[in-house]
Amino acid sequence: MLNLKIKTIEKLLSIDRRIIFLLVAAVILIPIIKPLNLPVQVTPEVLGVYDAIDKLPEGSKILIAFDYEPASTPEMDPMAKALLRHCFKKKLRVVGISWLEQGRGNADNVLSFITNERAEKGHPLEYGVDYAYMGFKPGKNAMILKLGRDFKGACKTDYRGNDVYDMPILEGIETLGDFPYLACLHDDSMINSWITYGHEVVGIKIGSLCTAIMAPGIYANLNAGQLTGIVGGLKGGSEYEHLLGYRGLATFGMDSQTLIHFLIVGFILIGNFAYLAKERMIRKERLR
Amino acid sequence: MNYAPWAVTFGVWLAAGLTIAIYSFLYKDNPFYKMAEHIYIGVSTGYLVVIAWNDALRPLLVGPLRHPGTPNDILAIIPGILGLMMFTRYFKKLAWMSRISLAFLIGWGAGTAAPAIIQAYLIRHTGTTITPLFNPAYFSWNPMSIIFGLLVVGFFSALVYFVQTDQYTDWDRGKRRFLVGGIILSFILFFIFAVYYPQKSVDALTEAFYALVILVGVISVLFYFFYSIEHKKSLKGIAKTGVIYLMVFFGTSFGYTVMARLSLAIGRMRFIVDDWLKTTTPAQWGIALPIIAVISILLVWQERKSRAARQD
Repeated sequence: MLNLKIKTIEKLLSIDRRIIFLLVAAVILIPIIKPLNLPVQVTPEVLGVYDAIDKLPEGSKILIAFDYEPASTPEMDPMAKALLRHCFKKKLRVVGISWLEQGRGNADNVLSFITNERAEKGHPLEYGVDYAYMGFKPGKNAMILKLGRDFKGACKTDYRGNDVYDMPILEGIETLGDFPYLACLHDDSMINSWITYGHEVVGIKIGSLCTAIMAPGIYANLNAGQLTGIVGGLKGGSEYEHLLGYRGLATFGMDSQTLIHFLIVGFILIGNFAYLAKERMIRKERLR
Repeated sequence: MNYAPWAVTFGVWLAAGLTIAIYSFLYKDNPFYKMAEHIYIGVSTGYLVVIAWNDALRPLLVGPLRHPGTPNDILAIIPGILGLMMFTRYFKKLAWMSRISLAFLIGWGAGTAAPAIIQAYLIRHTGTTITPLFNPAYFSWNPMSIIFGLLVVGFFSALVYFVQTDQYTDWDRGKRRFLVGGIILSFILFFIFAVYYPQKSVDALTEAFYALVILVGVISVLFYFFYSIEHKKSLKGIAKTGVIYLMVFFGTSFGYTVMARLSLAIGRMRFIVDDWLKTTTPAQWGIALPIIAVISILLVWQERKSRAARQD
């Protein structure tokens, strides 16, 4: 009897990983097919970014760094869209820039999506006046320092090849420090360069909107006052959407995320209990 | 950018096919996965080369040299030559030249980064860790809080000293209780007089406690990486505290990483269901199925051929 129990537990412990993959896939699919509409609670970190943008006066210019690769779009696009919706709702003028070669197209996609959406709703935005995109600018640290001295001289042309000196949106922008706020959408350590050179050298206020992987590493910067807030991963994106009063892709994604977390915690508990029970039974067997 | 409807449909089918091909690796390695992997690497590399040419080399090097707008534009030749010198690594006799470019790169990087990073990380973060102790919003220094603060430090130092000199283990229970109880009691009284009494708020207590937790964490983690003293007895306790902090950080990072990876899986699943399955038409399936069948046959044939070649 005891041997049978041990064998059953051993079977449970050596369950085929593909069954686990199937279960995870099923748990992801359920809320996609039928949303659960779970509640969202806003954290102070997300509120820090939201408030900083919300308090900017109408017509202010905001710089958005699109420093994420296509592989991170499921996590980053919902928060990028929420951020742009917030900016345009507040009638802020958005200037985009990217330090990543592969991130260059992401910004164009998201900006096109939101500007088309605004146009469909009867609030068209004019390129070069309400928003502009500088495209990919190589150089990272050196480029940030250059932007801190001469923004237009560093950019020269935008994504579409226009001369930045002729763009109305950049009137009054001489250096990076002339932007009251920088929202950095990033999936790598680019935020460190922005903090080191953008915040400490030039003095621009920064908010981080990042993938969940990046979030724990930059909490120290938040505590040090180098960031106004952190919007981390799909969870942060869902909070931002909640603050804007709509349920978007991040919020719907959190339904699946919550269920999967329950599943994973369940697996961890089953695995540990089964392991402990097996050890106990083996000890009992030996004592016999 | 707006695309033609046929291009969108083709893109969606292609993306869905590649997504399924990549996820098929979860079952086992197969020709579909290999094909998708090769396409991914090829497309990314090709894309990067084009971007590097269009957004970096052409506007910043070739353009200014061919049509200099200002006399300074000709100076682009210097980084251009330094960049080309990097490629001398591929020629044994000329490889020394690449060191000049590397020396310039490292020299510039160190010179620019060192002061900025010291300011942004070392000074700023050390300041953030220590300043709460002297900030009345966290801790208020009055005669009573100073007395109990000194008592905490005194009792703790005594505990470290007596454990280190093996005297603690020889003591009876009463003496041990006096020392440990002294730390706990003076710590509680310190918090009452330094935080709760001046501010009359439980939130202030929590904030001050967090500040202290961070301070203890920074000191113990730094001590864990300090190898000039052997981590024995009470010093081992401090190092172990550092390890606990590190484990908490690694655990948090791992949890966040799992969350991030699952977010990507959710995004792909949503794409498969919403953007692909819900938008496809029978006519599209009619065109796609024969193409999928042909690709499958070709891939399986190629895989068998290469396996046979490997066996030979």
